[in-house]
Amino acid sequence: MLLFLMGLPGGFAPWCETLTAELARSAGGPAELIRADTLAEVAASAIATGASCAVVAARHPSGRLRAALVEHRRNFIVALDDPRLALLDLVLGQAVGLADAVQALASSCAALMDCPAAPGALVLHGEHDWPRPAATAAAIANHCQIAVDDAALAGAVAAAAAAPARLPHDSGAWWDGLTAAEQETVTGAIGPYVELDENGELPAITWTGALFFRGDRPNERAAGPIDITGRARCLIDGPHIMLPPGLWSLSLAARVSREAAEHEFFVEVCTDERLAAGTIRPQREGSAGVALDFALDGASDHPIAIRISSTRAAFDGAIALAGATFRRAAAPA
Amino acid sequence: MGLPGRFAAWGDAVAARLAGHAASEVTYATGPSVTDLFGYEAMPSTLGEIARVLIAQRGRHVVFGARQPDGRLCDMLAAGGTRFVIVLDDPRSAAADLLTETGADAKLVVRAIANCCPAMLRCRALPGALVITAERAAADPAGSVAAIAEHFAIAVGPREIGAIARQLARPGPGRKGREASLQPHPPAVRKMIDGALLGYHHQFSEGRLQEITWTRDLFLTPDAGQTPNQPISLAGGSRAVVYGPYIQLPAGSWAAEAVFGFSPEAVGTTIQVDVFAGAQLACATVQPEAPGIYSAGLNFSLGEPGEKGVEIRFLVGRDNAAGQLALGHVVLRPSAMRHAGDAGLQESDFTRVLAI
Repeated sequence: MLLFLMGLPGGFAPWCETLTAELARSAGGPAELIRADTLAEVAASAIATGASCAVVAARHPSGRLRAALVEHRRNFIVALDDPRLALLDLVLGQAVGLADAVQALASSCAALMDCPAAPGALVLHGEHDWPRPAATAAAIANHCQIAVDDAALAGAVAAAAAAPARLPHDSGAWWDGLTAAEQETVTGAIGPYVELDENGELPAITWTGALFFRGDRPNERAAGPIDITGRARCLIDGPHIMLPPGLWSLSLAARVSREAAEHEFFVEVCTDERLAAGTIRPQREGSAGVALDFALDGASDHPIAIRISSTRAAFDGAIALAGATFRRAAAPA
Repeated sequence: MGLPGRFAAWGDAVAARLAGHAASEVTYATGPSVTDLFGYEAMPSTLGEIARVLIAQRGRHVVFGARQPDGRLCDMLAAGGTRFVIVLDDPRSAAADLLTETGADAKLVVRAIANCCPAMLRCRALPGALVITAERAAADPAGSVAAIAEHFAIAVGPREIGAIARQLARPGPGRKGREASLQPHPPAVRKMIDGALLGYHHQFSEGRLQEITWTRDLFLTPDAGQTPNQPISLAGGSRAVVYGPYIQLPAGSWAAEAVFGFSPEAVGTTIQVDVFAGAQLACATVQPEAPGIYSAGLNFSLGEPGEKGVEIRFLVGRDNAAGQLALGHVVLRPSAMRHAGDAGLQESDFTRVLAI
């Protein structure tokens, strides 16, 4: 049997995973820990490890995976945390780069947003449940129907205590040490999930240019102007971050040099398929942009990628992505 | 893995019984469903189907019978050297089984089996594959069960092996059974089955795929109520007058010969015949100067199976087209195929020289 645990990257979810695996192991159940966010990854990992019994850990579970759990009435665990603390865990505790940490965390926030309301979910909160390991272990065992006695519970708690704990960070000093642009990257991508309004609606999400990648060098972030000289090609790609399903309006803002102002730039919004496309037609040097609307259903396994491409060869010029701002239409009453 | 039919069901049952010997709780499932196999939509991901079974199951072992394993599963099995079993029957027997089992339109059945064959060809060449043929299983059921158990490293004694072999129905109907079950069907159905599937039988049994024939019954027309067995009017504007059959082919280079006829009124009308699989792969233009039978040759190359299979289209491009077209058939012959290492070639010679 597979046990599913989905949670934000950081410290709390791995602790929950260790605890769950130890509980299952003490009951003679699954011992493998599988990392999978899609149905295909679940199957591939199970085949590769030969384990049809395992704890499946998901950081940004795809819509199809979440739907399959609900369809088959499977209980699962959602390990939530304050995204700001999770970011500190990643950046200061695990030495993950800021842009990579924001990308992972923003994806996870989006994928997990509707999970607490799903049938079968046991929602754990880092702030409340991490300091109470015995009670949390009992809740997990009960929810996952793992038959364990008190001794096994205590053993699992002791084993999970070996997992890295949250280090005391001076979050204020760290935040003050970030540049204004870095702070904008964090607040734009993660802030909206902290500030959900009273109706549960998302404020506008902004992905700054620092989260995107160079089109011709997919492992290199596109922070700063991109030289458009050369043949027509994809210049900027990314940021490969999930969004919650819904009707979305995207406002893409860029800055172009004088030489680039006479060029047009093709913009695509994609998951595994193209969701919307448009063209940036700069009128002059400076600011330029495009607005696109698209619908995102919950079935896609893929995060959002925005691709900006030149449409003809250029001798000179540069473009910089200022940011992509998304606004979700309110759900119909 | 196995073609839909009684022999694949036998293979699934053997695997489930052996897994049940190793642990008491076994979940067993197959995919894709018959509905998906008969449909014209893209097939669901095999890994996705396996994951759904894994999510739904509460036992300790899962046996999944894949009828049309997709490329991602094959890649995954190849990368990990994962062991699996392919039970291979004559595809015509599988078609006879599916016809009997479902009572479905023969066109859907033949297309479904033909779509599964390239996947079996590809998987058969993987290093973790154990191939059990229907002939072998019929001649030595206990030996076949023992081979499957050994391949999966399931420790089971000869007594249990014998019991499993005895308790399960004998695998497959064999040639006589197939002929008996196809006897009630009209000759056109038997011709369609032989045309689309006999080549694969030769490939499975002798390692050579000479030709595949798609008879006109496999094709589609845009007008409801009309079939490609009837003369098709070319008048009516720009459109595909005949298309289909959306059947997967093994990767490689192919030479297709489409055979069709024109009525006297069609003289001077231009039609295009093309091969389409996600993109146009080949195209020929025909303008009959006299009524009669024509053929168009189309050479094309295919990668691994795509979403919807291969389509041959007969396209009318003019609004003032006239007359009628009658479709004969399309013959497909492989002109070059990617080698899967199953012909006894010294692979090391190639890898050394070509640095592959």
